[in-house]
Amino acid sequence: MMADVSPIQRILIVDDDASIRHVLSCNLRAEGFDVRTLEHGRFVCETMRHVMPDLLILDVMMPHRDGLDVLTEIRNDPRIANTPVALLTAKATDGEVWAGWQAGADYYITKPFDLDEILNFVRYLGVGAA
Amino acid sequence: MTGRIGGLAAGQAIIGGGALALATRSHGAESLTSWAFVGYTLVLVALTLLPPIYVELRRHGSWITPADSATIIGLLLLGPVAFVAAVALSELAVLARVRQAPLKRLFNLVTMISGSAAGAAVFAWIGQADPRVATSWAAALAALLVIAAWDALVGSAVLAISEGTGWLETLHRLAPAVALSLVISAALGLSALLLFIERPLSVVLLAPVLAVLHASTRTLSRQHAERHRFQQLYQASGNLSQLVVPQEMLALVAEEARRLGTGAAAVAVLVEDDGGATGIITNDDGSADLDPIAVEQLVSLIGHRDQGLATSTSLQPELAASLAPAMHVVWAQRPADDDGRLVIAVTREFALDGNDDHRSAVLAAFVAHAATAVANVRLHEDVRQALAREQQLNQQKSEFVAAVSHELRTPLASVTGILQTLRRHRAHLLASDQGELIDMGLDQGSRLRRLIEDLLVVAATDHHTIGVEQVPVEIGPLLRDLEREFQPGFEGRLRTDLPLTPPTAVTDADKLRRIVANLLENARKYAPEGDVLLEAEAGSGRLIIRVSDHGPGIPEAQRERIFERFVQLDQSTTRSQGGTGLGLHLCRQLAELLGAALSVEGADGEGARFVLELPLDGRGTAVEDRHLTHRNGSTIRTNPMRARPRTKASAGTTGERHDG
Repeated sequence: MMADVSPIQRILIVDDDASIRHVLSCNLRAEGFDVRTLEHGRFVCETMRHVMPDLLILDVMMPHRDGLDVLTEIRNDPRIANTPVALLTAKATDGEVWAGWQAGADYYITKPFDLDEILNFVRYLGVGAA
Repeated sequence: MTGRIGGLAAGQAIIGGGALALATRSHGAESLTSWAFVGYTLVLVALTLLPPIYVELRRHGSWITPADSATIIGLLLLGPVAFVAAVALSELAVLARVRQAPLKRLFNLVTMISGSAAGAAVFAWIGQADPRVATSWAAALAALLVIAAWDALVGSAVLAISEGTGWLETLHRLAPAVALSLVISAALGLSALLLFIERPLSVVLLAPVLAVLHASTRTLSRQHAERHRFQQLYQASGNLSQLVVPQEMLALVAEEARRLGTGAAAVAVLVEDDGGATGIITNDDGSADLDPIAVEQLVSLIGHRDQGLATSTSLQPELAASLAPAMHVVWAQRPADDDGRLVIAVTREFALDGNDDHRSAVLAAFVAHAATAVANVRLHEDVRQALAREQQLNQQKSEFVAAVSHELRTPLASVTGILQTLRRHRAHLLASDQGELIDMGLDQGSRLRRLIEDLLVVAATDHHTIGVEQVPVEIGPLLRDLEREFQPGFEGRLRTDLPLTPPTAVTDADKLRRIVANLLENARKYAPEGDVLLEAEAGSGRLIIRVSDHGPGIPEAQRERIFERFVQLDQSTTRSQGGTGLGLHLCRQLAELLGAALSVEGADGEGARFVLELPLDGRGTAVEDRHLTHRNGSTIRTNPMRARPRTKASAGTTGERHDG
């Protein structure tokens, strides 16, 4: 409910690479966001239902559970289906990007990424929702 | 009177002798059945003499009394009854010999006895109606016709079943030849009889005519049969063109050969260049693998002759048992391709007859076609497998490129992300946070460097441009360095078990270090829980290094596959770890360069244990022209100019390391 009307406040980052998690949370916290992180795909949906983030930044190739699989479950769960999701992945071929869009991504960022691009997207979501 | 009886006896002797000669010639004197046939022919000839002799004796005496009539009828009946009994006995002898299936045996017996009985009935009926000599002879001829007709009917039915053709069609095919020879024989027989009654000696005049007619009908029926066999051969060869699946290949060849040779069973054997052979037998029960011992015996029986035949008595026991029911075997063989030859054998449950040469020739023609078909199938299969290998390799390459892309992008993303963060927030970040970021960036840089080095080493081994630098290496410091390097990543889970005085090995320190580092990295990635043990032990000129983990282990079937290039057991996007699938392939390649053996062991679910066995004296690289054998069997020849081992006499390198 909150996610639908409020500007972006809380961001959940899921990536199995510690340095990526660190870099992203460092920058997003500096922008004033409440950042949570997870290192694999297993408990993402449970955490989302509990934390109710305003944005999910999701890696694709992860231990235990594939990001695309997680995304599909999110889109099928009415409680969290409307949460914006940005896929952040090293999978950069046309086919892989298309698979990401098909799974229901709101944004697709390939590694290596530009921090400004991510921050702009977050700001865009905040402005758009306001 | 005596003259007429003498003439009768002489006539019967000629007929009996002719029959015997024919029987012996066509059945082969050595076979048991031919003796049975000889026996019953003799009995038949003797018995058919009795009524005319009796009539002749009474003719010059008084009237033929009712008692005489009864005696004549009795004598006339005695012949057919004895005939049936003789046929049944000889048939039993044949059947006991060929070990037929019980049902088939019963069928054959009933067929033969019923045919003979019908003939005998006709014989008796005509003979009883008017027991004069001439009529008795006519009765015998009529009985012969009935038996022949019955034989043609049943024979064509059996042939139709074994050839898989229609019964009427087969009867139609057989009838002209049977009818022609019977009609000619009957006409000649009657003419001979009439002439004999009037002027006994004039029968001799008929002999040349008889001989010519006999020869021409025989030739006609042979031509007829030959044409039919060729038609069958074309059909059988045509059916082979549908061959594509190697597993069905021999069964189909055997099936066609059996039909073509109207055999009880047929065998198709493929003999490989190395002497190994596989065989399929097709009989009433369908197709099955032929007993390997029988295959061997058949192959040795045939040797290198193109075609031939053998009686069952000359077969070795296992082969004879496998081929039963068989009285004789017709076989032929041809080279299938460069590596193999095809052997076909058809077994028949009858004694050799005049057509065996034909069967042998037809089989030889068929085996030539079949060998070509088999060679084609094998070629087709080779091409198919090569294509599948190519496709698999392509697939692996695509996965490899995707994995390399992922593996390059991820650390690069970290490094650029860290640098962007530092530029953006340098002013606000605490010195410790900055330090953490910088350390992370360096770690990611090392990760990139390792990956690139791995790629370069693989490329170098591919292009045979990798050299091996052998120097005495202190194993203890090398392994302890690695322990220090990897312990942080394992968060204290890495244990070591090294000998008190670790040996010195003459080897390439850099490559050895890379192998062990890769194994440790592997354990870190795939065994996220439980201790990881790095052990070393030396003995009998070898150093054994083991890296054991408590991860999921490697299934037995995959233990060689993991050393293949680009292979990762878990190819899904949920795989726990990234990686290019190069690590273990690289380890194996490097181990081979060092003359070492790398293998993996450990039960399923109980972790994996990688074992590296390294020669302490560096003899693995002492051979200049080393060959690395790839999994696909191709051979890599190391470039002698580049790969020549340069063994340094001094212990300089290790000394430095020791001091450091």
